[in-house]
Amino acid sequence: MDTSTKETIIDRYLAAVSDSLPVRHRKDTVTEIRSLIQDALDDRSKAEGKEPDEEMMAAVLKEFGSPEKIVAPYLPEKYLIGPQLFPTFMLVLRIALPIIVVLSLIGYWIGANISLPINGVDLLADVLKSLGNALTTVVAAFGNIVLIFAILQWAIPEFRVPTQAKEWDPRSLKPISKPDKIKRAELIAEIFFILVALILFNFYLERIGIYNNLNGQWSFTPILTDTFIRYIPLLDLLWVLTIMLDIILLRTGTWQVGTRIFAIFNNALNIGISATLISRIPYLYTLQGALGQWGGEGILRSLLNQILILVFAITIISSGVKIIQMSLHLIRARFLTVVDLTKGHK
Amino acid sequence: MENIQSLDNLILEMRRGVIVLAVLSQCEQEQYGYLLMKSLSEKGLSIDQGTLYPLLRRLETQGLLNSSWRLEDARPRRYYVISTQGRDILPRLVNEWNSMVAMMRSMLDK
Repeated sequence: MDTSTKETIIDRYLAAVSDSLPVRHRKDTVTEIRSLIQDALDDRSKAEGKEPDEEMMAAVLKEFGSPEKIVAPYLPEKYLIGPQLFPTFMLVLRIALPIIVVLSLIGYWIGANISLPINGVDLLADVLKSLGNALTTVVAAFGNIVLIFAILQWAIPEFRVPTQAKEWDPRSLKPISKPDKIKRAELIAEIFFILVALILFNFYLERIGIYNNLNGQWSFTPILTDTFIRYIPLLDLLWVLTIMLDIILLRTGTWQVGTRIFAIFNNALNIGISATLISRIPYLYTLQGALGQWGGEGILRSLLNQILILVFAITIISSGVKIIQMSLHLIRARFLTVVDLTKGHK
Repeated sequence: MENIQSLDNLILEMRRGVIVLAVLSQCEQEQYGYLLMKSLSEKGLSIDQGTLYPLLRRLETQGLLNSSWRLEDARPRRYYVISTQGRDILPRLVNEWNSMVAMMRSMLDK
C-alpha cells in the first residue's frame, strides 16, 4: 500500500478538517478522525477482499460526510451577533441609518458651493456626489454598528449562549401599556402652522420684511438673505414630512413602530437643519436700512441673534429628547416581545 | 416525495433522542469509535459516523464518558468508557426511558 508515501484524498480530507478546527483541539481531533477513517477503510478492505484504493477511500469519506459537516459538531456555535442581540441590532440599524443618510445629505449640501444661476449639469453632478457620499457614510456607519454589536456579543457572556430561563414569576409581568394615544388638537395646530409657514416662505417670500410708515409713506425692506433662502427647500422637506406624519397619526390614532421611526427621522432632520442654521445666524437676515429713522440696529441685531440662538437651541434639545423618547419606546416594545418569545414556551 | 422526506426527518429526529442513551449503555466496556458504531448498527441502530464521533466527544466534555488513547497495530485509537458520573446517570435515564415507553404505549394503544 503506497498510502503512506503519496498524498491521498484522506490526507486532503484531514487537512481540510484540520483547517476548520480550533487550534486547541486540532491535533487530537484530527488524529482521532484519521484513526476512525482507517478503521472504516480496513473494514471495507476486508469485506471487499482487496487493498484500499482511491475509490474505496472516496466511498469511506463519503460516509463520513464533507469536512464542514464532520467539523461542525466539534465547534461551538459562533455568532458575530447572536439571536438575542439581533433584534436590537436591526432596530438600531433601522433608526440610525436613515438619520445618518439625512445628516450626510444635509452636510454635503451645506458644504457644497452652489453658485447661482444653477447649472443643470453641475446640479446633477452634485446630486450624484451627495448620494455617493451618503452611501459611503451609510456603509461606514453600518460597519461601525456591526462592530459595536460584535464587541457586545463577545464581551457580555449572557449574549453568547441562549440564556436559560431564570426563575420567573408571572406576576412580574408588566401591565400592557395602553397604546400611546396621539394628541389630536396638537397635531391639527401643527399642521395649520406648518401650512402657514409653507405658504409664506414659498409664495410670499418677497413680502417677508419690515414695513415702515415714514411720514405717511409706507416703505418695505426685505430682511431674509440669500443664505437663508438657500435653506428653504430643506425646510420645505421637513415641513412636508412633518405634515405627512401628522396626517398618518390622525388616521391611525395611535403611535406605532412605523410612525415612531418616521418621527425619529423627522426630528433628526430638524436637528440637522437647526444646527446648521444656528451656526449661520448672523448671515440669515439683514436689518440694513430696515429701521429707517429708528436706528439702534446694532442692539436689535444682537438681541435678535440671542433670541434666535435660544429658539434653535430649544428646537435641537426638544428634538433630541423626542428622539430618545421614541427610541426608548421602540426598544422597550422590542424587549417585551423578545421576553415574550423566549419565556412563552416555558 | 416531500411526504417521504418529512417522514424521514421525523424518524431521524425521534432517533436523535435515543442516541445518547444507546451510546452510554454500550460504553460499559471500553470501546473505540468505529467498533461502537458497528456494534450499534448490528443491534439495529445505525448512526451516521459524522453524528456519532462528535457525540462521543460531547459526552466526554459533559463528564459522562472518559477517554484514553491507546496504540494498537501501530495505530492510535481513542477508547471511550462510561465515567462514574455516567454510571450514576445511566440507570436514571433507563428509568426515564422505561416510563416514556410505558406512557407512549398507553397513549397509542387506544
